[in-house]
Amino acid sequence: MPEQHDDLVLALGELGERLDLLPGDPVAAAVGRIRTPQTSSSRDRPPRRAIPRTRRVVMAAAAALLVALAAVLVAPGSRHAVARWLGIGSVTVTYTGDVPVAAGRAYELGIPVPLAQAVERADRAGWRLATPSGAGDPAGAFVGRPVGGVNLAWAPSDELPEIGDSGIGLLLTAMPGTTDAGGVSKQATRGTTVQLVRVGDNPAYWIAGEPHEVVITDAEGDLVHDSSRLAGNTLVWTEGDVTYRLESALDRDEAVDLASTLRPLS
Amino acid sequence: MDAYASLLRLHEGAARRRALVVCGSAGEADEAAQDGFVKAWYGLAGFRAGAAFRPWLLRIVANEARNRRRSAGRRAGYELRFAEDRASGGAAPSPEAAVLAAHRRRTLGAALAGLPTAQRDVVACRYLVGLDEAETAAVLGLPRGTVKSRAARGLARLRDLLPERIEIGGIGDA
Repeated sequence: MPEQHDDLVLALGELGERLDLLPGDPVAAAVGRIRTPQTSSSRDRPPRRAIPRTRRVVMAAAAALLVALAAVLVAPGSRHAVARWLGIGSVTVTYTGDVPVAAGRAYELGIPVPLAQAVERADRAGWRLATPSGAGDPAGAFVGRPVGGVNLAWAPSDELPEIGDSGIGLLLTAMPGTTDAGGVSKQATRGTTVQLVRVGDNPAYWIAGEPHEVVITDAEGDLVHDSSRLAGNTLVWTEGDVTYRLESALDRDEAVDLASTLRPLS
Repeated sequence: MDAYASLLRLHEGAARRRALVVCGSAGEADEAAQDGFVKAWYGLAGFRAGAAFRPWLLRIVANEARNRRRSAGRRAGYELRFAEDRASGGAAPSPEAAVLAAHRRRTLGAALAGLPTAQRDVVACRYLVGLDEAETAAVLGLPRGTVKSRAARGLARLRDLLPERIEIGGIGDA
């Protein structure tokens, strides 16, 4: 994507969010047609003849397997931070170096902007961008991917080992939206594990292993899909009305410690 | 069946948007999405284990939308409509700002409608629906290189189609 079109890409993303869909429910309508094919219109071509029971079982099993892979994780409990499970600040990171803009492009992090501009965009959209104070200032800020979200990247250092050969030591994605309305799911592969942990008093998900996809329920109730960028281990949690995803090469406890230092930027 | 409905809910928004940018009509798009969901169910047993479900589903829905668009022919107009501004936690936009933002959206939507179909498909998948390059390639059945080049050409053409004096930045900021 040529850089000269960055503004156009942002505008298109915002346009996509506002595509005016009808209030109908095509999912319910489709499920109704599948359940009662004999009353459906002729456009349901597949069930010309009765579907054998074995085939129906295979279809149901395939759907169930896909949903199991989507692994919806419901986050229970209070969202008010009262106490923390784990110590805070045991990971202290001193930032040195830069995240090359090329890394942002290579991993489709969005459009590079000054950090202040990312903070301002979040403010204008009605949410506060926060970063883990234990990581110091990020080396790069990117907006627009996912739409409405912000990616902050830190350079690799002794405390933040490089994630693969990405040129990035820590990636924080902040998205307005919550994970506790049945919204967080993960399209796992066989090499992925998920553990329920806590960041402060908030439920969080530690996703380790293969790349995965996170689904967030945004402020309008729509589901937003976002794929892991760097195939690093990922911690996902919600603070207030914002969902954060921290991707790094840190182990679980280090990542949770770092996430616990989340502070709003102003 | 409940499992399938749950699965569809995860991808419903992307599927409806994908159908809409192909059809250019919200009503036709929902019909196409519905048909696509039904077809996907009957094709589920043939879904390759380990493959990504979303591009597979969106491809089926997009085919349905394309068929509808084709059968509607020239009598059907292509017009994307956009939701009005809604206050989201902050102050509501001023009436003037809302009118300007709506105008910018309509202008960009009209320019998008003016793109050749092949470029519009790629631009819509990548930037309106929010698919990445690999997903777009899978949905459209194109090599990634083609997606990349069509996206670049589509964006350049889109900019040419926009009036020079319109500022596209801040389209949602009114």
